[in-house]
Amino acid sequence: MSLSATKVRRSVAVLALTVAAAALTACGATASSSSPAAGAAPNADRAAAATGVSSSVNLDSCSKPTRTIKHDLGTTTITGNPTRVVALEYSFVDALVAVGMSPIGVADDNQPKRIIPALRDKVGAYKSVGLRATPNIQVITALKPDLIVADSGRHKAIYAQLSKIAPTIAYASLNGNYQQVLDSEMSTAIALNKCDEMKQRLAEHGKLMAGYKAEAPADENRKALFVRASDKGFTGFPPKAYTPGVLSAIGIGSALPDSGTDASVSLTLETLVATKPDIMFIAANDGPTLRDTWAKSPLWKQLPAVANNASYDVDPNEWSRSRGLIASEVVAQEAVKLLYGK
Amino acid sequence: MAVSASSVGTVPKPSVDATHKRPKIVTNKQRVTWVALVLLVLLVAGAVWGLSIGSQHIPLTQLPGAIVKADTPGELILQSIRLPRVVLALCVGAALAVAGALMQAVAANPLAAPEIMGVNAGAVFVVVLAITVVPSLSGAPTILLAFGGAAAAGVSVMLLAGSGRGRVSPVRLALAGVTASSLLISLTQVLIIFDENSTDSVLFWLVGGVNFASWHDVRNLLPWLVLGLLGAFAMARPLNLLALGEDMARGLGQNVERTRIIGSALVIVLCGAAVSVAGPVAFIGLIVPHIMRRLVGSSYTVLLPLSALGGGALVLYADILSRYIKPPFEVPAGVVTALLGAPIFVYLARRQKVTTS
Repeated sequence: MSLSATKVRRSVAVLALTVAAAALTACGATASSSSPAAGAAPNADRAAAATGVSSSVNLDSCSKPTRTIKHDLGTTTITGNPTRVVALEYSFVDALVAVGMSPIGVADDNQPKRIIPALRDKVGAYKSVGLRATPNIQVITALKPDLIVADSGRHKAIYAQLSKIAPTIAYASLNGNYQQVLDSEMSTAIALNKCDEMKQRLAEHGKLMAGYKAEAPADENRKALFVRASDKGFTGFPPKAYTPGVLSAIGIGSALPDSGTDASVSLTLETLVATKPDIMFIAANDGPTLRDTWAKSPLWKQLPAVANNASYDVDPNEWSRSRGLIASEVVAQEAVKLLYGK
Repeated sequence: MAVSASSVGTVPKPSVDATHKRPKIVTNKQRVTWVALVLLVLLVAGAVWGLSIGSQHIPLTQLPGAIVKADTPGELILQSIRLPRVVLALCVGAALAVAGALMQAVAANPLAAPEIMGVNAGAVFVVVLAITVVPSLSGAPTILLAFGGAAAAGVSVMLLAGSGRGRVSPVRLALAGVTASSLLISLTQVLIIFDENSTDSVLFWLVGGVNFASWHDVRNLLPWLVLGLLGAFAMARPLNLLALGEDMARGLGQNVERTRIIGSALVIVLCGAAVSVAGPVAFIGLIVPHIMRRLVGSSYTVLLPLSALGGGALVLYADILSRYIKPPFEVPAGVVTALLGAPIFVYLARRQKVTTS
């Protein structure tokens, strides 16, 4: 009996794993339906519009003493100016730094080096609240925060617990795209009562990105592929994911077709060959990866990106893990430098 | 015919019995031949199917060129991507299915599967450990590490089950294996939680599949597969005797302990090698031997080779089906085998309950 019970449990576990994997991809999908990045917001006619932010952000609450913040897991009312903020994703550290603040607690995976250089100096001293996947509730409580910014996917299960500690707002970061990241930065700024600072910063961001876009030659029509390479996989990011969104904002299209519901897709060498990327940005994990194996194949050398020396190694922390306004500027700057030497 | 035969009376009765008896023996032999033939046809058809699908359209007329000397991109894709994928699917399926059949014989439990001995969990744990904690260790020696993990888990389970005594009781073996499996699975989950870095790809691999197969994987697996399969086929007679029951086997002069230990060692060899290249593809070791048993009976002389063919076919077709789920992107074949395996397992478990009560 115990045997069959264990077998059932194992089969359930396998199924659960599959379901979880499917749910993970679906998560990114449901959230990625917002309008593409850049361009003026629909409410641009209003004097205090925010550049590049979609209309779903509740700008009406801006600079009021009591603000209603819409977020992925509901609406939260915030009074006063929060100063003790806990960020459970690097994206939200980015948002705080963008308005000149710094968090008191960060879920940094106990690896402070994962906070990219563009943010690290401005963040100052903070308390690590553990892993992003499983932040330490006790440490968060002890910090006595007055605002918690959480990931709407990863931290959904502990949202109620977090809300008991402090007002908690949650946005898509792990599976968020470029537009969602910009929106979440604006919403976070409204919660922080730093509306004007963020609007100014977003305007700067818009100009900066337009400037990077202008660096590209007029006839630029190469398609880029951003991938994560690891020991057991070669993961491509379709047009709606964060990094391709940033690249698209500076005028570089995606080599992968729009696959609708997927936040990321698993590639084989054959699919990679069929994708024919003109440019490849590869964020490889430490140690040997599948890329090293494939690089030996003659097929790899026939990839347009490899044949034309347009395959670049990039830092996974900057290009993939830190999805944010400042991080996207880092990505755009590096892309322009790698592609055009400017 | 039947009516006229019965109407004649009692005289023709023995001849009816005789005609009944003789075809019965022949039928069993014929059955084995037929099942083997059908499996071979399935394998060839599956191989052709597997070679012909992918994100690029490549006519199969390029296949001879691809095997002899690959020059064009199409031939290169066939030769270095699709061919090893098909071959690896067959090898992994054969290894896991034969390991399952061996395990069921050794543990004297029809629901036993390689997972029971903690072998898969051991291999998985060491591979994930290599990926997450010491990335510099992975790469070429990964297969050896995984193999070591499988062996270490398997040996410690056997020691746990039989330590201090001459006999290895099937129940103790299963209990020790389940305990070790649970422990290793939780430790693997701890590793994954601590390292978000490679979670996506590790999760993919944990489901099991041959998506990223290369000739390198096939070369790594092949020596162990040959060793494991030949060893298993050579064990067919002692396993048949063991199937009569432990006391009967002992009475017939069998060294039951030795049979169990060699059988378990072969399970470790087959599973460790298969899991290290393809991940723990679910249910193959459980369902294939059972299907084969229903088709050709439970003599290990035919059951083991046919399980090898059946396992190969199942993983091959699971891999093909998995490619239709989300083309042109990859889904591990383990998803399909789990979907097929779970209902069959429930069926087996229920039937088992009825027969034992």
